[in-house]
Amino acid sequence: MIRTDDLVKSFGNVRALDGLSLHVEKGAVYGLTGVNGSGKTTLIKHLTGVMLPDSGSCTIDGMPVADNIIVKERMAYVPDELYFFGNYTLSGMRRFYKGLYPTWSDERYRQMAADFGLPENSRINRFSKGMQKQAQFLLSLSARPDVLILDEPIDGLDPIMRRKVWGWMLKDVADRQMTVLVSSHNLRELEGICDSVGIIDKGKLLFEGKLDDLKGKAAGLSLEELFFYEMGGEQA
Amino acid sequence: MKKNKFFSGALFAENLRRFWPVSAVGLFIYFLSGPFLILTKSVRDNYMYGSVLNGTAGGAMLNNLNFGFLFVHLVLPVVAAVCVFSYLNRVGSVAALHSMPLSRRTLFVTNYLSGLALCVLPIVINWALLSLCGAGLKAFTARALGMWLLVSFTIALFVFSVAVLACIVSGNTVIATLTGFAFNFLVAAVWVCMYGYAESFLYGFEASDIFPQITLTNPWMRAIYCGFTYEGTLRAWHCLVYIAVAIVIAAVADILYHVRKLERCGDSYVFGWMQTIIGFLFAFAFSTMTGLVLFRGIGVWAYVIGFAIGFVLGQMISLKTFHLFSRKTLRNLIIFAVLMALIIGCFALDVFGFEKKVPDPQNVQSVSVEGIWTGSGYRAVTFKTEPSIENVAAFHREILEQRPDEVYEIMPARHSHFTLRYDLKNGTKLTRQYSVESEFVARCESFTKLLQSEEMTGSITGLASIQGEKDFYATRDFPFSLTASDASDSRSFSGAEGQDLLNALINDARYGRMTTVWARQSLYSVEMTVRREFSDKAAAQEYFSSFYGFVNIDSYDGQAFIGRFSFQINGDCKETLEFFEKAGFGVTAAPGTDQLIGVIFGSEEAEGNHIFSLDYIPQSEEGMAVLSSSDMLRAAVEAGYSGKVSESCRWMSVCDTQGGRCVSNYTMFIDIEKLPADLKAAVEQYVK
Repeated sequence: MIRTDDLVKSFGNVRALDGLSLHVEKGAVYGLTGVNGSGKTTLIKHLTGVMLPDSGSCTIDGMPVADNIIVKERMAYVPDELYFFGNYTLSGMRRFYKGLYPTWSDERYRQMAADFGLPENSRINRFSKGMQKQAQFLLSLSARPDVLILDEPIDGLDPIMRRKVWGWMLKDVADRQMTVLVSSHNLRELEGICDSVGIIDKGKLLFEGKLDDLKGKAAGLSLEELFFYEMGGEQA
Repeated sequence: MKKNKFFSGALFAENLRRFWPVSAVGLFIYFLSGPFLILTKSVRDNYMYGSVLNGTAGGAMLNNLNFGFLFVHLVLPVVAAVCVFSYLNRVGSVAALHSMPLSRRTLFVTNYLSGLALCVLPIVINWALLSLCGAGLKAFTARALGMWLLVSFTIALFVFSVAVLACIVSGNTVIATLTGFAFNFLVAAVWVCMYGYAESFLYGFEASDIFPQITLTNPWMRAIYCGFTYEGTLRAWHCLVYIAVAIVIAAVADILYHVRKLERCGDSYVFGWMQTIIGFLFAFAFSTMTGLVLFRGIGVWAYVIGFAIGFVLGQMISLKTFHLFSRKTLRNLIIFAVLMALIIGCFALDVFGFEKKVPDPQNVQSVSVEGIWTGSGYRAVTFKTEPSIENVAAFHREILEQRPDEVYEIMPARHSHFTLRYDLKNGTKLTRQYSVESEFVARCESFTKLLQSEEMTGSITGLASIQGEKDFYATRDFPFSLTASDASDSRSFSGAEGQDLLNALINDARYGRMTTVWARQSLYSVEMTVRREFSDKAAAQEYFSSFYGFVNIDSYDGQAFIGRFSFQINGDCKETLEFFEKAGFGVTAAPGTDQLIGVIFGSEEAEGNHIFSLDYIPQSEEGMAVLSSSDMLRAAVEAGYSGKVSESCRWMSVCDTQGGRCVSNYTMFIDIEKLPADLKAAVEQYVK
């Protein structure tokens, strides 16, 4: 489903991605983790077509992501740094998303809006950070994407809202085989929702595998323990 | 598999929703500057209405000579471009929009079109309002309104496209805005700099046509130029060319958008080569400014200082840091310094042989020489015969032989300008302009031959047969009130008397007496007016131009065209002076009142300090000799009438002293070497 092969990206003298190859199967919830500056966000920006690689490829269902409207119509992205048009309300953003995504569902939007309890006609830039995150989830999931990419999605969300967000997301995974790639530092949270994980460091993938396999092969290590092991930490 | 989609209706609509206030402000200014002015009777009745409508359909307003229109035409497109492409300058917005189902082409085309719509909508609405107002008041023709719409659209499209290009290459909103304006005038600015260098270093470089040429680089400037000249407004084909150029610029912007590295948002410039170009432009601009202004004072250091300032500023802005000590900056410094040295060196050493180029007379079709011929101001005479062309070329070579060492100090105190315009047989043109000392021209053999050429003498003698009502208006250049008490300063001649005057003028002109006017004190100005009916202006132009090559059509009085031709009379013009003497309009060098004094200045600096500010009765002092007796003043005036221009010439101001101050201040040119010995000695006590 999601695949990168030998992805290389440099910023000046810094090699942010260093021949990174990653595979995410359809319907999987893939957790991506790594230390700060390891290249997670850079990788995600390549997966969403925001950045162009120096070399290597990045495809979804065999199609290149960059500048590909067909792929992007099936993909939604919840970035770490949120952006809404200035002075726009939730209903204004709904109108914009609806015009862009052919799979947009008003019904899903109404259901989620009712569940989250967000005011539709207030300016989003007056929302709290957590509410803005909810709004982004609401818009992204209402687009009914086949692929959902999340960059530090639960920052700013309270535990109740986290559960709601994961609930809506996992419902789509179960119902529609939606593929999710989620980047986070919260290993416990990832362990709870992911079926596959990748650990990235210095632009390279140190580990990639299913959590079930991990439990078998690594003698019951938790994801956190595995992380420290892969990073060479003493706690492993 | 990819889906080709160039336009997103959703994004277009959202852009209009988000940025409509920009258009609304533009429309408001258009409205205040146009329809509101027309509709408001109180305004219509005062002077503004006249200046806006110019009294005619398609007047100043439709020629875009309107501050409000000009302001919006320039500012709105830049602001609109910055607004619609501002998402490129922030990490969040770049990520959000580029991860959506929009390709880079879709984003570019849609944003471009929506920004353009924001600029064009106010223009269209204003055009509709002007049409309504114009129809009611019968102020504008439909054609003039249509042209305003086309020209305004062209300006908006061009300025907007350039601003979009600036937004694509820059990475933050402030730089994008500044660059948006700067790019629109970049070509013009570089052109002006190059003209500045050429004028400073190349002897003979002619820069008088710079403004019309430079305005071609941008329709906004061109519209202003056309509005202020007879052209009125841009031609339709001008607009088509500008539109084509704007489309090319937009295409370049689109290509750059495709290769733009989005991760560089927030940087001043997102392409590495832009940093180099902008850095060099800063160094070049500052070096040029200080160099051209201060070169006379501090020499080459003027360029070095400006270069250093511009380099540091340019690097700070493009790198967004005060820390400039790096290998890269050192490399840029060396490259830029070498480039600047090359540019200045090319001009200073005239590596392309500009100065020495004098066309071979065999290759010249015709040559027009603009200068003072009969004292009628700067006029061009065209020479077509082989001997005359050879004489012009010889005159040209003689001018080059006396080239001053430093071109920028070539303005002699007593000088004359000559512009030589060669039309070569291969279809090209060559133009040179020189300021040369009047004395040099007076002794230049080739120039004397030119004065006696077939073209000059033939045209001058032909003036005797010019048909139409002829009137002559003669004025003493030295005001009568300072010379005599029983005649007026000016007089008209017509009929037979006028014909006699014309014959005298022609005889003086044909023997070249009048052509020494720039080296002599002028005694009279004579203006000939010829009034004659013609079928149209072209016929009038053709007829008048056959006499001496430059009888100007001055006006049309409803029935006939009026041509004017003027002569400047000096002490050599014997026949004309005799005519005036017989007609009782002779020159007297006899100041008639003791109220008059003469002040001879010792230097141009002294002239500058005193000549216009004699609000007191001056006394002799170092650098300024005062002649207070009638005899002394008379002798000085006589010397002024007869003397030719030389190094020993000085300006004398003759003042009518009343109430403790000088009034009726008038100046004349005198040669102190020609003064009687005792007067000369008296003057030389103060003036060397």
